[in-house]
Amino acid sequence: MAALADQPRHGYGVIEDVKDISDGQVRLYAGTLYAVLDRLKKDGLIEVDREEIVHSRLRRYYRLTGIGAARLAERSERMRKQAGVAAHRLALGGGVA
Amino acid sequence: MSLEARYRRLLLVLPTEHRVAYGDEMLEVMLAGAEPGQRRPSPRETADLVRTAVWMRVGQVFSRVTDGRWRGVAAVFAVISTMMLAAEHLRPFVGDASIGRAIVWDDVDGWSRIAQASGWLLAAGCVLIGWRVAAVVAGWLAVAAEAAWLASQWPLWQADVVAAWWQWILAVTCAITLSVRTVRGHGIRLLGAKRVAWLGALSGLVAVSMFMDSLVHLRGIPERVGPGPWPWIDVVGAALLGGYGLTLLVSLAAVDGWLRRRVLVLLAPPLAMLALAGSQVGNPLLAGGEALPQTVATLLILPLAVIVSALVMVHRRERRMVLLRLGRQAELAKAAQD
Repeated sequence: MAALADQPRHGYGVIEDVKDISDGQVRLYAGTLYAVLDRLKKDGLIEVDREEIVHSRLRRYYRLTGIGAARLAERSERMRKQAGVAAHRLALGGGVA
Repeated sequence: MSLEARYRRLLLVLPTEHRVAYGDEMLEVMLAGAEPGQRRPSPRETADLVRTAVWMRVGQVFSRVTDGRWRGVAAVFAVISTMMLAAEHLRPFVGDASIGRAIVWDDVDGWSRIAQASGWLLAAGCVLIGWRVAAVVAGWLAVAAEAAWLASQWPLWQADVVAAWWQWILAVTCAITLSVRTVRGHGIRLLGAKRVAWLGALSGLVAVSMFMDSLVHLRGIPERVGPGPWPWIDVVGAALLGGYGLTLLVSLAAVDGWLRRRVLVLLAPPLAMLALAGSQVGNPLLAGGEALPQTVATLLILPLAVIVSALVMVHRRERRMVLLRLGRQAELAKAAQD
């Protein structure tokens, strides 16, 4: 969902963006990607932005819906808080914050 | 074969709906991510796609099983089968009581039979009242008791186990359907309260009619049963069983087709086992009261084969019906346009 937060992307664009934002840690493959996109679409969190035909092949762009953006904001806020708590405790315990 | 053709072939593992919706896009993504000179899908790509396909197909089966229609089927089947099982397991006790034979508690055969009869009687009562959890517990306890009985009898009387296998299949199916969460009284509403009352009454009479069978068996012993023979006893017993079967058929004929077909799918394995090996006389799985080498495999595989075949038949029939309906609608729409 984070890959679609700033702009609509097509499938390969999502794979590349996920690789970039995870510093190459996460490599999505087509099977997993389209299972997730299908689930997000059915849950109303993403929708089709537009379709293009490139080199005789379908390229479909997806974007976040209003509900999807709200859900992503809520999740990222929760993760930010949890990360803050973890960093704070590490600092109290003498670890590196 | 080109890389594109190999990707297309790999995509065939996906469920049709998903492939139709996303196949072209997935192909574009896979080709865009391919290394220069790559001729085959990579092992990771293949594993990812196969794992996704398996997961989706399992999910599809699970959602079909747990959809609203199967819940209705489970509710109806639970009503019918608990009454059948209660009647079937009560019959021996009625027979014993009618000739004054005491109930034996002190061996596996005795207590497991008592547990089965009381378990199914309790389950049938709870289903009628709407106490689902109690019905589930009673049903599974009866199944466990029957498992103990089958295990204890196999080394001694293999013919008894083979002839009773249809009851075991029915019992397990019944316990599974009892475990499906449904709205209280759903099965009775779908079948109709009057039909359920008739089925209940006839189940009771079928169970009680066993006392007549006992008298039939003993009518050759004048000091126990008085003057005989009594040919009307056989006629009444057969009429009760026939009446029960007819009421069941009429009840199923009155419900919606999708419900009737699925209930029959669940009834098919125990009925197939009853028809094939429900009697010790002329049983193709027995020779001289002993199991044949192929008996165990048949007992395990045949019920599964029957239910899978029945499910495939129902699926094909319903698919054909949908296509026919769509065809008729298209013809009507064309006629309206003309």
